[in-house]
Amino acid sequence: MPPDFSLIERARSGDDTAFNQMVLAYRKRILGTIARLIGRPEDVEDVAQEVFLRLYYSLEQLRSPDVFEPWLYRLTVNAAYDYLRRQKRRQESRMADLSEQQVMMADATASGKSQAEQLYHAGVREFVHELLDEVSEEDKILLTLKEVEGLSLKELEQIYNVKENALKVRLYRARQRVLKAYEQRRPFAAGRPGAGGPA
Amino acid sequence: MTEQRDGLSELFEQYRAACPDPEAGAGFMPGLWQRIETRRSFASRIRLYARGLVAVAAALCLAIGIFGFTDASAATNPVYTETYVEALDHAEAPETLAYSDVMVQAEYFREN
Repeated sequence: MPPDFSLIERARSGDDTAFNQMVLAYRKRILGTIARLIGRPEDVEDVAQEVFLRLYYSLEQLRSPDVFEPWLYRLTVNAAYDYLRRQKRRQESRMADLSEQQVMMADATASGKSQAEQLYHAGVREFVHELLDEVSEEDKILLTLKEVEGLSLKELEQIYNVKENALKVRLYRARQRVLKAYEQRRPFAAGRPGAGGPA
Repeated sequence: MTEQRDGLSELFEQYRAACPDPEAGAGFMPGLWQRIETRRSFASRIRLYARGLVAVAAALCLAIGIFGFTDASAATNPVYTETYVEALDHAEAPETLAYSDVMVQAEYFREN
């Protein structure tokens, strides 16, 4: 969906209705990206609100509406990064919570979706989060944006304000580290994600 | 550094499929506007305090300025009329007094 420049321009000049429309247009995409970046569904809305709050108060600093999307992504990345760092400080153990599989099982019972499919997806999520824990928060975000969100190097260059070559090196190293963890776990992960779809 | 296609790429694709874009809850927009308003009122309160601080600082500067001015005009007070160096300059040194005594005596002897 191409960005609506007139809407962005109106929101930038302080039109709250235009800002509201802009949030409605982008919130689903931003919620999805945050969900995949932080991996905790219960906190996704909170982080997304933080993104749009920062957007509201910094919109007038936007140089031109052309760079709106990379800029919004930068705010998203920063908010997700802050969240992940806070989580790390709190040292919240995932073990202390209900495992994601248990939560999904409850959800599956409540919804009409196939329980096997739900469990499979929960397994994929947990496995990927485990793998991504092998790298720093910065690399986790970068790798997710490239590999999962499917952003191009050009887009990442705009978001991070870093030269493409530096990004390539960083991505390569992060990917190698995750790949190594993946290779190590694969023999023990028979029937786990990566080897086919849900049963 | 070419694009690698391996089990990891496939896993990431599965992860993408396992994490669809969630729908925002009913409280999302009201919650967002509430946060915006809270921050706005906080910012306006800070602005108000800042303005008050600036006013107090300006008044203080003015008071110090006035005090400095009246202090300078107090220099014309007869109790305090000169600086220490000026006072030294004006004061007669004891040796000058001794010298003038000798001169007076010499004058006396010359006359008598």
